[in-house]
Amino acid sequence: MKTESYYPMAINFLLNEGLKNISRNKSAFFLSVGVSTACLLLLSLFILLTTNLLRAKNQIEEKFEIYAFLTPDADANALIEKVNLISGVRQVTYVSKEEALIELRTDLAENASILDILDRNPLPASLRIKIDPSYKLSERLGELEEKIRILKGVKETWSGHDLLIRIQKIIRTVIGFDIGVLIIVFFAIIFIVSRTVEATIVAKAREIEIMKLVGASNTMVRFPFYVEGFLHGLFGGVIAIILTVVIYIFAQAHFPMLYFPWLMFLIVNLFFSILLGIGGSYLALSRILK
Amino acid sequence: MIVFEHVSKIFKNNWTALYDINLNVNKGEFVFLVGPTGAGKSTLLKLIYCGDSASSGKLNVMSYPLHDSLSDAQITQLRRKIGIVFQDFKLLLDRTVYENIEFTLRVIGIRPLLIPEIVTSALNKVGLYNRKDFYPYQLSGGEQQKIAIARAIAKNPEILLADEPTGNIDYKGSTEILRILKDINFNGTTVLMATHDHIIAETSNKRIVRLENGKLLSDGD
Repeated sequence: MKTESYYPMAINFLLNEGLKNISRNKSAFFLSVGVSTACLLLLSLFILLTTNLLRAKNQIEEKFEIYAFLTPDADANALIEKVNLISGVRQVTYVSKEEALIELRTDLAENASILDILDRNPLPASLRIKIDPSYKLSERLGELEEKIRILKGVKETWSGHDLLIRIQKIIRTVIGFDIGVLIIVFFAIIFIVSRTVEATIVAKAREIEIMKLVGASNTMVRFPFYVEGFLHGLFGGVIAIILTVVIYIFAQAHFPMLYFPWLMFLIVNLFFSILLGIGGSYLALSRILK
Repeated sequence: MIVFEHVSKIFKNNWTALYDINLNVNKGEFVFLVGPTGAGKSTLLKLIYCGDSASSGKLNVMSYPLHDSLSDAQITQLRRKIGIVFQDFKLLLDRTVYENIEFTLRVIGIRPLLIPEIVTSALNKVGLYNRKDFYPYQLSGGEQQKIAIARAIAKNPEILLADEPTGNIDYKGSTEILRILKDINFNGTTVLMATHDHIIAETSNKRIVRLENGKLLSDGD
């Protein structure tokens, strides 16, 4: 009998053994996949919310301008010169009363006819002032706005700074929740996978004993359990992606501007969940198979 | 091949399972370990396959010096050269006879192409090839033990350890098991068989090592 011909790893055999682990413990496996999916879905929805808030903030920042509304007797050219001299100002554009009205008509689109009832153009001329990005979310923006506001010929100013600050605060809060959810998801998945794999290890105690007695390597004994953890993560991740896409499609019907970061979802749901699945298996093996 | 020098095994509860054992088993020998329950036979076999470690003394198996610092990889290599047969067979009940042996060969990394030939040969040696598709629970105790032996010899071990292989089997079955073990030994495998049945040992014309209360009482025919 010739048995010298060993080869290091029978991958298909080990994968098969991993699948057998799952089929023997089907209900526990799918129950724990369900819990993992719910956790990942929660995380996905928070990431969806965060990325969309960040995107909205960036879009507002890109268009960020200070509006300086002028008095009827203001000397626009002189004001443009003065504003250009203020530190932090990058570009100043004059918008006349007529141009402001045309803009408003464009913005109102099919409702523009409402403007026809006006006897005169109520809109003031204004300066649109683009500023240096470093000023946008800093205290210095208030000082800059104040410098423009006190110039002779400027009636009032508006920057949307408050709106940006409010969005910034919301984003910070949501990111805080993201981190919280991430931590919960991390521990929940690790825990549930390790418990499921532990149950499989206990159920396979005799098989493991025989494997060890006949001379199976540690890798050979442990690999099927890593396969189980891997598949746990893969299933949980894929189902969470499908559910998130379904929710996204439904939400987009109501909010067409909604953005879906595909790459991030693939990374988070697959890479993260597979990593946690394998991590859960590692934990179970470390606890039981010493 | 197997050398015990002043080997003792004392468990944590201070129970002395083996005391100052000196034993030398040569390659190709057939040795009976005879003694009543609790004599230390199973513990002695366990030390050989690294199922446990000696508390004191020197133990050398196939030039592996066995001590606590033996690595997992070394234990794995040693166990691949040793076949073990237990009183309770230790067969996987949810796998057929063929799959039980195939499983052993797969986990030690035998190439799949070679496996059918090896399994067939092992089952023919114990005369149970016609049972290859049966599940263990469909077989008698004697047949299950033969399958356990087939599994042990499938990997072509240098040493075969049999711990009470006839313990759960009737006289006829025991005789057959013994014949198979002798055949295996005839082909060059060193066999150590632990049994409480001194009659089986005495009628076999092989070396008998008697143990009692963890002490080696006698060593000879």
